[in-house]
Amino acid sequence: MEETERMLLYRKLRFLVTDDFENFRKSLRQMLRTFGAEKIEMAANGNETIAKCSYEHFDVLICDYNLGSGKNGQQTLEALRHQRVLKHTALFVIVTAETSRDIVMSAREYRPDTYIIKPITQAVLKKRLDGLIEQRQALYPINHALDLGNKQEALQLCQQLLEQHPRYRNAIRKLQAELHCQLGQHKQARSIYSGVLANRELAWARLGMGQVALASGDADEAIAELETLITNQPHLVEAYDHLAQALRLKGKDQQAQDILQQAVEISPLAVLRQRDLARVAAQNQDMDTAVGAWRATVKLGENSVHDDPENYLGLSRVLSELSDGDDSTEGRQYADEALNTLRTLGGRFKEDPGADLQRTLVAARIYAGQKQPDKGHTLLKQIKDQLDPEVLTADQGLEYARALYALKDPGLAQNVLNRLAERFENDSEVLEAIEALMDEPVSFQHKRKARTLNREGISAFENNQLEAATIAFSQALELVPQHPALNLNLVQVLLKGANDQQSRDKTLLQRCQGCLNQLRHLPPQHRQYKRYQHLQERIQKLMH
Amino acid sequence: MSDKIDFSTVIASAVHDMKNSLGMLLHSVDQLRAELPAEIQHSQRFNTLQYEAQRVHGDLVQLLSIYRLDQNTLTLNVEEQNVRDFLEEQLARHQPLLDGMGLTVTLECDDQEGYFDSNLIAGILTNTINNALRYTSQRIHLSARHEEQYLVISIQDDGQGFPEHMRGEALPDQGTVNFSNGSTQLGLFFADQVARLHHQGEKRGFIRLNNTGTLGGGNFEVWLP
Repeated sequence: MEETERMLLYRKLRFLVTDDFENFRKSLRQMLRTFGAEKIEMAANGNETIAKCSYEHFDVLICDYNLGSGKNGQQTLEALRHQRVLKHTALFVIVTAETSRDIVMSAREYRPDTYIIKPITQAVLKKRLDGLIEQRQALYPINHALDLGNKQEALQLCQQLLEQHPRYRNAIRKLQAELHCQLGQHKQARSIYSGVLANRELAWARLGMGQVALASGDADEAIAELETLITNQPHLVEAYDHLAQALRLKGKDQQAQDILQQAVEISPLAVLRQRDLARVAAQNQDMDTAVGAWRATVKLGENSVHDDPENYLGLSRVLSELSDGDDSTEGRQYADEALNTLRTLGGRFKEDPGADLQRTLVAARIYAGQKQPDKGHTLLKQIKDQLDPEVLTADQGLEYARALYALKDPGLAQNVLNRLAERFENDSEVLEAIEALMDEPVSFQHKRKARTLNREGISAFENNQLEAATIAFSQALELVPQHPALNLNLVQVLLKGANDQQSRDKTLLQRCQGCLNQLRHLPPQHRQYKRYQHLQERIQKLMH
Repeated sequence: MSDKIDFSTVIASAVHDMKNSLGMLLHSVDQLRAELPAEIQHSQRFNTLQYEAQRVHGDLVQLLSIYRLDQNTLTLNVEEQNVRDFLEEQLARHQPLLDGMGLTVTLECDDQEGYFDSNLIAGILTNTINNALRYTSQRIHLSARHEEQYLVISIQDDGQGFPEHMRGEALPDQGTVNFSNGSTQLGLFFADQVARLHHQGEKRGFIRLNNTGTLGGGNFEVWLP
C-alpha cells in the first residue's frame, strides 16, 4: 500500500485512545495526527470508553492495560465484546508497560488484535498500526458480513479472499474453520485444520481439531488431540479448558479439576476459568480448592461483566460446608466470611429479589451449622411467603431443602424435593442435583468418607470378598443412611451371600428389607428407582 | 516477615521497576528529539543519551527474561509473523537513533512468514542492533532468508567483526560467563537460550556468529526452525 493511500485511510478511520494519564493520551493523539488521523476521541477509563462506544462507532481503539482503580484494559475489551458494541471490523490494541506473566497471559486470552509493549515510539506505533489497518482493509468484507450477522456470506467471502490475499492465508483459514464450527459444519472445519496441520504443526489448528472433536461429541479424540497440544505448548491455557470439558464428559471429574488447576496456575486472572474450577472442585468435595477458586472468582469478577450473584452464593455455600458443625475459631471464621460475602452480595445486587431469597436461605443454613438454629428459623420465617415449592425456581428449591436438612427437618426437605422433582421431571440436570442432595444430605466430610467406603465395598464385592464389602457398605450407610445406591449395594451383597450358602436366613432378609425401607421416599424419576423396584420384588419372593 | 528474603526476587522486582521508569524516560527522549532543532537532533551528546538509555533498557528486559528462564516462568508464544513487517518494526524502533548517528540501514527480506515468539526475538534483535550500533562504522544490514528449513535472521555491520573467541556456534554456557573482562556475553547467552526454546519436530533454534558477511564486519545470525 502506498503511503498516500495509507494517509487517506488514517484520515477516514475513527480512533479512540484510552489512558488514565492525560499526557500519554495527548502524546498518542499527536502521533496519530502525524499519521494522518483526524477523528480522534479520548477516554480516561474503562467505563468512559464503554459509554463512548455505545453512542458512536470507532474503528480503532487503543487502550492502556492499567487504567487505575476501575476496569483494566482487558476487562474493558471484555465488556465491549459482551455488550456487543465492538464490531468485527473494529481493531482493539492493548498498550502495556507490564511484561509480567500473569498479565501478559491474561491479556492474550481475550485476543486483542495486538498488544504493544511500552515504551511506544512513534515509528513503532506507525509500523504496527499500518500492518493492522492493511489487514483490516483486506478482510473488511468478511468482517462486515459478520457484523450484519451473515455467516454464510462471510464464509463465501473467505473463500474468495483466500485467493486474493495469500498474505493473510492463515488468518482467513482460521476464521473460516471457526465459522464452519459455529454453523455445526464439523467436517468442513476439520478438513481445514488438518490441511493446515499437514504443512506445519500450528497450535491454533491443533486446538481447532480438539474443539471440533469436542463439538461433535467425540470426547476421546478431543482428549488425545488436546493432550498432544499441551505437551507441545504447555502454556496454551485454552487447550486446558477444552481438555477439562472433554474429561468431564467422560465423567473424569478429578482429572478435569487437576487440569483446570494447572491452567489457573499458568493464567490466574481469568474469572471464568476460576469459576469452572470452583464448581468442579466443589462437586469433587475438595472444599479447600473450591473456596480458593470461588474467592478468586468473586475478586476478579468485581469490575468485570462476570460480576454475578452466583459468584457470591457459590463462595458462601462452600464456606458454609467448611463451617458446618464446626464452632471452633476456624469454623467461626469460615461462617463469618460466608455471612460477610452474603452481605456484600446484598449491597451489590439490591434490585435482585431472586438473589435476595437465595442469600437468606444460605444464611439460615450457616446459622444452623454454627449451632444457632433459632437464628436460622427466624430467617426462614421472614421469607415464609416466598417459599412455596410450587413457584420456587430449581436453584431456590434446592437451597431451601439444604437449609431444611441443616435445620434438622428432613421430612419437609424431602417433600420440597419431591415436589421439585415432579415439576422438573424433564430437566436431567435439576433431577441429578435433587438426587445428589437427597442421597447425601450431610457434610462434605461425611460425603467424602461415604464415597471412599462405597468404592472399597464395590472393589471388595468384585473380588468376591463379601464380608469386607458388607462391612464397608454398612459403615458408609451409618454416615448417609438414605443413600439409594449404597442401600441397594448392601442388599445385593447380602443376597449373594445368601445364595451361596443356599440358606434363607430370616434375619438377613429382614436386614435387606430394612435397607429398602430407607428408600421408600425414592421418587420414580430417580436413577436407582428401577433397581430398587427389582430388588424389592426379589426380597418379597424370598420372604414368602 | 521472619523468613529470609529471596534476593533474586527482590532484584527482579527492582529490575522490573527500573525497566518501567526507563521506558518512560525513553518515551520522553523520543518525543523530545522530534521537538528539538536539527543541530541538537544530530548532536553526539543527544545520541549518547538515547543510546545508553536504550542499552540499559534492553539489558534490563534481558535480565528479567533470564530471571524468568531461571524460574521456569518464561513463556514461549510462537505465532505466525510476517517477517518483513516484523523486521521493519524492529528497525522503526531504532530509527531515530540511527538517523541521529547518521548510519545507513538496509533491509533485505521478501514477503514471507515465520513462526516465532515476536517479543523474545525482538529482545535479541534490540540487543544485537544496539551492539552493532557501537561497533559499526557506517552501515548496518538486516536480512532474512530461508535455508535448510530454517528461517535465518541476520544482522551485519561494517566494523571490525567479532573477535576469534566469539565466533562459531559454540557459545559460553552460563558457567563460563566471565565478569572480569568486562564483557559478560550475557546477551549471547540469552540469545542462545531463546533460540533454543524454539523448536519444530526434532529441530531446535540456535545462533551463529562469524565475520563472513557482505559488509566485511560482524555477522550475527539467529536460526529458527
